[in-house]
Amino acid sequence: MIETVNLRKEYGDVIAVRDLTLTVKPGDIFGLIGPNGAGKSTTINMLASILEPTEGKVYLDGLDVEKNRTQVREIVGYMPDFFGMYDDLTVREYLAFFATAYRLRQPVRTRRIDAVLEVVGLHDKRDELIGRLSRGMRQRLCLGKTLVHDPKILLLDEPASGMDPKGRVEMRNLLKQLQRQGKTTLISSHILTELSDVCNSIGIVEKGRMIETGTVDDIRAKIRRLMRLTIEVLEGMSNAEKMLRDDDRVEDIVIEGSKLSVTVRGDANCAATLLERLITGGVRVSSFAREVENVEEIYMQICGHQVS
Amino acid sequence: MESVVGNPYLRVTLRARLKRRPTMLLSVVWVAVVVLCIELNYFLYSSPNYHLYPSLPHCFFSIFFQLLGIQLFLALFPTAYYCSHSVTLERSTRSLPLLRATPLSGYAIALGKIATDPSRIWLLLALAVPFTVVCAVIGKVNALTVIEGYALLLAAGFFASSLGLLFSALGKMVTKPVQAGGAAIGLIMTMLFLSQSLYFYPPLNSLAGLSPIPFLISSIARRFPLILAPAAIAEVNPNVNFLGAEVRPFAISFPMYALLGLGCFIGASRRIADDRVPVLSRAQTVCAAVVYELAVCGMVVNFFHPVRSFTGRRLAAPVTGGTPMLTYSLLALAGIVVAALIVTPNRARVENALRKGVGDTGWLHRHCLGDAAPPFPLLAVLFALALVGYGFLARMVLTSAYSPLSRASLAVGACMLFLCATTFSTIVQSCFLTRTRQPVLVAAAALAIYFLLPTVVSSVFQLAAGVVRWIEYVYAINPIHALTRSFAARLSNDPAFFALGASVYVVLTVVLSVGIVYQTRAVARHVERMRSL
Repeated sequence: MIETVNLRKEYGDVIAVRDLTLTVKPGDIFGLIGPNGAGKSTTINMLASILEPTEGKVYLDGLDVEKNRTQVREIVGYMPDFFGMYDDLTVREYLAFFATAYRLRQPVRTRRIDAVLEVVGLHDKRDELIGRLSRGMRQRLCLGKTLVHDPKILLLDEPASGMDPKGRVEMRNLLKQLQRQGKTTLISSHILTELSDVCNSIGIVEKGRMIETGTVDDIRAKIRRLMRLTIEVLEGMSNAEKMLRDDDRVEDIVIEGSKLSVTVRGDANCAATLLERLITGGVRVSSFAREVENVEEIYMQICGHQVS
Repeated sequence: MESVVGNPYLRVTLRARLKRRPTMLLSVVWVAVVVLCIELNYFLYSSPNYHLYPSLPHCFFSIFFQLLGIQLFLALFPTAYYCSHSVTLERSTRSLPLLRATPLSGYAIALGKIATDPSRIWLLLALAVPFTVVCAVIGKVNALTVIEGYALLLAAGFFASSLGLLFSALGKMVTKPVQAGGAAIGLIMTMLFLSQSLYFYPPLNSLAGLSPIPFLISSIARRFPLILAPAAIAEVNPNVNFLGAEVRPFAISFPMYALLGLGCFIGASRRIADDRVPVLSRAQTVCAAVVYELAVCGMVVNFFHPVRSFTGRRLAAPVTGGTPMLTYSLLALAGIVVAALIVTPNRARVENALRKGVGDTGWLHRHCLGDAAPPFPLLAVLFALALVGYGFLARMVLTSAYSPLSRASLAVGACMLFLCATTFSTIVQSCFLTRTRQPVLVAAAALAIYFLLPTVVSSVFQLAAGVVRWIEYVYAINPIHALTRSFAARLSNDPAFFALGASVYVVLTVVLSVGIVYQTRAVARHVERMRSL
C-alpha cells in the first residue's frame, strides 16, 4: 500500500533522508521511529506529496506520487506534527471546508462530518469557534479533518504529541479501530510507548537512514540474542550468583535484594537450561521470568548497537 | 470551473465570515457613510445658501463619481492590505501544509484567498451598487460609463488583492512593510478625503511648499496611465486629457489593472503550489513594498491634482498644495526610512568589521564608520544642512511655479534625500551598536516635524477657515467673512508671512540639529571604543 524506493531528500548540503526504502502492507500500522531530526517528518511530507524528493520514488496504492499527485491526495489523510487552524471558523465549518476541498458532495459530506465528529468526540463542540478550543481538542479536530474524506492511507506525524494521557489512550483505540476498518497507517513518533501497543510493523530511522524495518516480532527475533531474565531467589543467593557468573552465556548480572536481573546471550532453550541448573544446584527459585521487549527496548538495543 | 464551483473558500469560508457580527456592523456603518455622502451633496444642492450644483442631475452626476472614488479607494487599499498577509499567516501558523495536502490546486487556493480574505470589502462594494446605480440614473450618467466604472473597480480590486497575495506568497518578511504601507496610505487617503471638502484657500497651502518632492512625484504620475481613472473621478468627467488627447480613462485603466492583476495572480498561485522556501532577502522585500507604494502613490497624488500655484493660477499638472503636501511629505518620510533600512547592514557584520578593521560592510560603513569616515557630529550637521538646503531650494522652485528650475530641482532633491537617508541610516546603525533607541527617535522626530509641521499648520488653517465659512453661510455673518478674507489675502500675498515661515524653519532645524549632535556624541564614543578593540 505504501512503498518508497531509495527515497532521498537534500536541502543544500544537508541530507535529510538518504536512500530510504520501506514497504507497508495494506491494513498495517507502521511506526516510524527515530529521534528528533532523524528525517521522519520529511519522509512523511514526501509521502503526502507536499515535498518533492530529490531522488527516489514513492508509490501509494500503486500510484506514482510524482505523476498522480491529485489522485494520491484524495486517498491520503495527512496530519502534520504542527498545524494551524482558522480560528474564526466553527468546528463544523472547518470540517466542511476540508470535506469540500476533498470534493465530497452532499449528502455524503454532511454524513461524513457527523461521523467524524462522533469518532473524535467533538460532536458537542460542533458549533464552537475553533479559537475557543483547547489544544487537545484542536488535535482531535485535526485528526477529524484527516479522516473526513475517508482516506485509505493515513499519514500521522506525531499525532499524540501534546495530548493528555486520556487522549493518548483514545488515540490508540482509534488507531486500532481504523485498522479494523482496513486503513493503512504510517505513524511517526519519538515517544516509543505511543507505538508499542498499536504498531504491527516498525521502521527505525536515524540520521535520515532506515536502520531496521520489519514486523515487531521479526525485529524482536533479530535482537533476541540478548535476553533479560528476572529471577527471584528464596534461598541460595550466593550460590545462584556464583553459578550464573560461571556461565559463559551470562553477560551481566544486577542484584537487587533477593532479585537478580540477568542478561543472557541465547534463546528460550538457554533460559530453560539455566533454570534447570539453578534448581539442580540447590537454589530455591520463587520466580523466573523473561522480560518481553517492547518497541522502546527494541529501539534502544538497535540504536545502542548502531552507536557502538 | 471546478476551482470556482468546488472551492471550499467560496463555499464555506466566505459564507462563514460574512455572517459574523463584525461584518454586519461594518456593513451598517458603510451604508450610513454612503447615505451621508448622498445626503450631504443633496443638502448642498437644495440649500438656498449654496449654489454648488445647477440642477439635480448635476448633483447626482457628481455623487456618482464621488461614490465611484470611494469604492475605488476600497478596492485598491484595504484589499491589498488583507491579502498581504494571506499566505504568510498560513505559513506562520503552519496551516499551509494542510491545504497543500488536499487536491486543491495553487490557483484554487489563490482564488479562495482573494475572495475570502478581503471578503468584507467585496461585500461593501456590493452594498454600494444600488446606490451608485440610482445616482447614475438620476444623474443621467452614460450606461457605458457605469459599466466601465464597475469594470474598473473589479479590475482594480483584483489587481490590488493579487499584488498583496503575491507579496505575501513571496516571503515571510513582506507582510509588515506592505501592511504598514497599505495602512499608511489608507490613513492618508481618508484624511485627504476629509480635508478635500475644506479646501477653500489654496494660497495658504504655500506655507507647506518647502519640498521638490511634489515635482518628483508629479513627473512620475503624469507618465503613469493607471492614474487616469482617479483623475477622471476627481474631475467628475469620464473623459480626460492624456498627453494631448481626449481619452476615456476607465476604459483604458481597467484592462491594464486586469492584466497586471492576472500576472500577480499567476505568480502567487505558482508560488503557493510550490511553496519553496522564501528566497527574498530583507532588502528585496522592502524594495518590493516600495514598488507597491509607488504603484499606488501616483493614484493618490492625482486624486488631488487641481491645486493652485502662488498666484491662484490652476496648474496643468499636479504640483503642490496643502493637503496633497501631506501625502508627499509622508511618502518622502517613508522613503527615507525605507532607504535607511535598505542601506543599513546588520549589527553583527558591522561590529565584526569594526573589530577587524575591515571595511567590508558596504558603501555606507566604509564611508561612515571606517577610518576615513567623518565623525558623527559632522554627519549630523551635514544632515541638518541637507534639510535646510532642501527646504530653501524647494521655496525657490515654488516661486517660479513649474519652471525649468523645478525640473533641475528633481535631481538636487533626490541627492539631498539620499544624503538624508544615509545619515539617517548611520543613526539607525548607531542604535544597533549602542543598543539604545534615542538617536533614531530624535532623527525620526526631526524628520517628521520638519516635513509635517507646515502641512499640519496649513491644514489647521483650512479647517478653521472652513468652519468659519460654514458659520458665515448659515448665520449670514458678513463681518467674519470679511475678516477671514482679509486674513487669507494677507497670508497669500504678504512676504512677511513667508519670511516668518522660513525663519521658523531655520530655528527649528538648528534646534533639531543640536539635539542630533548631542545624541550622536555617545555613539561616536562607542564607535571609537569598538575601533580600539
